[in-house]
Amino acid sequence: MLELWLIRHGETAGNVSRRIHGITDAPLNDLGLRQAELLAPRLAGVSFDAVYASDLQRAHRTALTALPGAEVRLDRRLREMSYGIFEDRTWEELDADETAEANHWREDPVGRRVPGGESYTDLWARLASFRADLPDEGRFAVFTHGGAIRIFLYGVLGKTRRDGLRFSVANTSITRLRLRPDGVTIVTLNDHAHLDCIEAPTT
Amino acid sequence: MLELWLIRHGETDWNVQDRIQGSSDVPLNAAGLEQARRLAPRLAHVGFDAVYASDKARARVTAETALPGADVCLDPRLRELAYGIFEGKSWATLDADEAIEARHWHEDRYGRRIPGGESYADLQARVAAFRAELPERGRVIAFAHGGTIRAALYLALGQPVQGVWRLEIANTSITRLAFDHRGTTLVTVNDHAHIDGWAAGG
Repeated sequence: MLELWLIRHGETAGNVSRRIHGITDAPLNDLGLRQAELLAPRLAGVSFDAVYASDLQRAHRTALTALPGAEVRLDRRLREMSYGIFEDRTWEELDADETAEANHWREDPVGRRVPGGESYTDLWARLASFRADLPDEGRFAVFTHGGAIRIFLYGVLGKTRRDGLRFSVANTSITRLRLRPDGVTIVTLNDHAHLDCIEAPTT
Repeated sequence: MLELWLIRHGETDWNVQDRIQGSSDVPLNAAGLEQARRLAPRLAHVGFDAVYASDKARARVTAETALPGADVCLDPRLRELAYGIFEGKSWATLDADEAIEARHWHEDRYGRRIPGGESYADLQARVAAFRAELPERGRVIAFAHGGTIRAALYLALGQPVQGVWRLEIANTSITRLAFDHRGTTLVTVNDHAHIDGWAAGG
């Protein structure tokens, strides 16, 4: 049995100002670091066969802070979706042409690539490739991104947003899945109880 | 937007003994009461517009313990699936005839009723009827059962394309759903951090 602990990175300044951060390599802010520290005791008693992280620093730093001393294997396939021409912008500041491009993309984010970036299908292909390289047995911590966790959930459940189904994925939340040939078990989804004591998390 | 918090009841002796409870009215055991007490601080500052519970003691007492002083509306539609002839028994120790009945039912749990009990379709219909009467806005909490909470999630998830998917729902776990015009958001599923690392016997 394969058990994955999918963990979203802590907060960044861009999360607060609602900047589009796909592959933009933004650091954690102070609250993001604090969130990762609060996550640490929740992972301390869990034994992982390996720890993986996106090579973007917000995910890597979250892994190093939440699992101090662990050997973290960086994997580019765990990156957030690449938002191409929209990287490091906000949706509100786009000009009329860019907004038209954004709306065009939003009509079919599964099939259409962001100009200069990726589609949900590209992201799912990367994640599926990562998953295929894992063994059939073991427990793995995977520090990654909100979009990546959502697309992974849609992928393993065989659903899309068109099914009227959405997922919240808070900073440093834990989503645990068990994957077997005969199906998927959702063990927990978006568990961020360690943040109860601080301000309401960003979803 | 409507936010619905679904809480499974605390542990009972039958949970520990792996006995099928269904509509049987089994009380919380000492561990179950402690789980409900540990849940309390996690709910204390949330603010709910309404508090519902299944009328079975294990759900009602979990509600009264986790939200002391709250006005709890009891609703039998939140009851566990009625397991009919299987109630009080364990799947592992059914006699030969019961095992045949159980296999027959497991082949089509949606379509087939357990003798003397319900089908998953019956349960989903009850849960959907409860959900349909909730207001369009606000935050409500319902103390219910593992099967009831899974039924609410399956209503959102639909049937798997292939194979099966399973959902873990621990005693006193928190599952949050949000409903708006776009559909359903799974906000959290099976958050039981308040009993992590604290062995309660299952």
